[in-house]
Amino acid sequence: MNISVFLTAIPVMVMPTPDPLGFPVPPIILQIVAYLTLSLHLLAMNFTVGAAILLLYSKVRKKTEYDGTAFFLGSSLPLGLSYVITLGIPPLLIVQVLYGQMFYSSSILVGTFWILVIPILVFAYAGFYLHKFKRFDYPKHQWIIISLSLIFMLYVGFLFVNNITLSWSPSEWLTMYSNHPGGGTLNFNERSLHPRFTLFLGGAFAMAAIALIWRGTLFNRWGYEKEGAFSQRFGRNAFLLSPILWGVSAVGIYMTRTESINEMFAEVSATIPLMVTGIVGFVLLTAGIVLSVGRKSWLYPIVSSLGMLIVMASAVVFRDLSRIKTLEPYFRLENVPIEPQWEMFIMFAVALVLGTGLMIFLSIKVFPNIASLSRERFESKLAKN
Amino acid sequence: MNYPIWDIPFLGAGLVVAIIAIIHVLISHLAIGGGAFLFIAEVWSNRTEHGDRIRDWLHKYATWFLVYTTVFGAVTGVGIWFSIQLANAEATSLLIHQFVFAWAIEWVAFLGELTVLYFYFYGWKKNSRSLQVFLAGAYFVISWMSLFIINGILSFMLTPGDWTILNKDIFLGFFNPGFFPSLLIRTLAMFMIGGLFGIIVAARVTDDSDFKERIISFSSKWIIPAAVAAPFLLLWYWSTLPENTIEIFKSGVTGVMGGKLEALTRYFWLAIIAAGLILAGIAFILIRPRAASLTGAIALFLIAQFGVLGAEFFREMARKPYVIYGVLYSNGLWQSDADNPEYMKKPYLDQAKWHPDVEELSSEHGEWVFRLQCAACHTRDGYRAISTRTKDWTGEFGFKWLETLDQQGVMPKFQGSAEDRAALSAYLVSLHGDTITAGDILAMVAEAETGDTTSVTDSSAVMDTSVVTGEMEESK
Repeated sequence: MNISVFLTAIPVMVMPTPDPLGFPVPPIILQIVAYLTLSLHLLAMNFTVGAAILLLYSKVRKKTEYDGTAFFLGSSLPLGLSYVITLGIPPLLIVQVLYGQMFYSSSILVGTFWILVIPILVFAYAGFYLHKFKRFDYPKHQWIIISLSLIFMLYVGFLFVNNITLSWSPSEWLTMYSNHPGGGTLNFNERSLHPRFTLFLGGAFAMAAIALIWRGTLFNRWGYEKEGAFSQRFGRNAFLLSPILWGVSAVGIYMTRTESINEMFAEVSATIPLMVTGIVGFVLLTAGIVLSVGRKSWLYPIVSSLGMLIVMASAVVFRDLSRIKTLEPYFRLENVPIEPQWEMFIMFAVALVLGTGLMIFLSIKVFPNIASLSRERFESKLAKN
Repeated sequence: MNYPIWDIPFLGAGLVVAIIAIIHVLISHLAIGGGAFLFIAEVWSNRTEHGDRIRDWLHKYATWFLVYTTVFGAVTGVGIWFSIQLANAEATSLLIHQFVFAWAIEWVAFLGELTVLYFYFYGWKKNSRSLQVFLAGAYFVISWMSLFIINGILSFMLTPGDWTILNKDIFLGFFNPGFFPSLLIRTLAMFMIGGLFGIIVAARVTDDSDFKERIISFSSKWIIPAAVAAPFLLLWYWSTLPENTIEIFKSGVTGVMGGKLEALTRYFWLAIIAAGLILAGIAFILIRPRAASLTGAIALFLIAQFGVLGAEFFREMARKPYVIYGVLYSNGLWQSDADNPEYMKKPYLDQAKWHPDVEELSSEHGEWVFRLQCAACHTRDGYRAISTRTKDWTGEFGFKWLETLDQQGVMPKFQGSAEDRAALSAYLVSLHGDTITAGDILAMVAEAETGDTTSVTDSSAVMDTSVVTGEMEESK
């Protein structure tokens, strides 16, 4: 057999057929839900990783002025990871509906590493709780716990990038499976792997910075300007790493772009407006963070948060468009039949509205109580000092 | 074969799913039963003179509950998804596509219960008493809704009822025959586990024996609903099981070389005995609260873990040989394809996608047939080891036996040509050192069919009279 013919035939041969049940609603609806929830999931993940890095930095500096922000970041880590997991469920569900045959295949190909995500996530989560509840009992060992949890988080992030990019690369599949049917391998042939990972790290500093800006603004409003301004400055300085990492990542992604990405820019009209939207989001993010220092207005944290959401949503949509274009020779969403489940979709929409309403209502009732507790704790610490 | 098989040595994909699921199920039941416990205890604390003391203790309960259920429960819940994708992508895909919005609603419930639990825990010192009661109650209701939904999907896999791949009727599938008995049994088990967790936390109280006695007594009463209603619900559940499952439970399954495999029955009794021990243990504590110790309470919790192990393995094995009963076999073969003799006789590797080019009748041929058709359930030498199950085989025996694979009751039909069977049989016997080739096997079979008396005839006789009819005496 002619070897080039054989290699060309491989992806077609191993590409599984889509599920016989088809799509339950037009794919655009699922894509919109996935864009929203994946953006929120990535923001939570960025916050958790960024908070862990800044907490570690605070521990290394060993200066008392970092105590307040370190306490805040350390207390937030378990909550952050909790929402990383919870908000990751809908995109994980939807990727299985829309791109299941690719996602299942790639997951099995890296199966042994993929399943390790679960125990590693448990260790990372337990480490964050250990820090939260025992940080004052064993202060000297906290940096070890945080470092380990951070490394575990980075491993999980890397595995996700590796698996998802592999799911777009059917040409790699059969060789990988033939050589490692137990899933004991990873896809290092993906040239954009490292730039993508760097992109995610850049977001980590930005999200942790936004959290510190919110905290700083709250403290400024309570009249503790010194603590508030420190929190805002710490956030702003950390944020400056984000554009650097994003810049490096952008160059890397550009250098490793494939022909299908070039075609996407030429053929898909949404790409340029999407990039412009992302740039607008970045400007809002930067302005909100940089201008917030020493100010009491909620405007700055709100603007920076909105800017980050826009940046993330643009990146998420862009990523999906890249996937659709890359998979075009093997699979098209429009070729899968739709077997409508409108009644179930409506039930989901109603549940989502009711659930969101309940959470907003309870937030209004409970957040002031939690904030007041934080204030009392801070004042008590001030009194002791 | 639409998807690759995760051919993980020694453990096998099925055991990975089982390990994660067994851990998750106990915690997820605690996560809901514990919610009811928090709610009732909150109400109780508002109505008694020792309310503050109870709330202090309840804070300890809530702290352990929060860490245990979120760290282990939430992550292992996602872990089940991860593992079932690896173990059976075809079935996972079907479940996801049929129940995507049910799962999405469950996610809303999960997000809600988590958020409410955080409001309850982090607002502990500042929230009003009535708000705390509301939050605990809301947590329980929302978390029970998540059970309601996932129970529909789980019970569907064993008793899909009138749902078919053609009608795709989600409500028929969701409210299947096993739905309500399963839901009620799980709910009672949750109350019991929530109370048991209360005993563990209460057993750590050392400074006030009267108070300790009161809360242990309170926690122990959570077994009463299960003690009263479980037997009736179990009978109801039993009545919904497939006939084949009942048959396997009663008489076991004839093994590959004879003998009775009664794993289904053993797991059933493990679950029943564990439940009985817990009921007896907690009943004893209820009568004599002062006898409760931390060691004893943890021992009961571990017994509960074994009970979950038995129940989950029973539920999984009751489906055999299917992963979705009557629809899809555990190895990814659709029932509709299995019913088509022409399809089933076609060369297997021509149908399967995930294999390199291999020489027909070679050792690699047999290995890939094993990997893609058997490795979903069997490892070579670990969990459900194929090497021990075939240790007495000859190549010719295996060749014949595979033709009647489905007649045991717990295996699907063999898919493939005579060459595939010969290649697989040669591969299986090679696992314990036999060097016969697939070509040799086919030649011997051909020779036997022409009338010569060989060992093939003997093994064929064994097949016809014993294994196939299921009457072989218990030689193992």
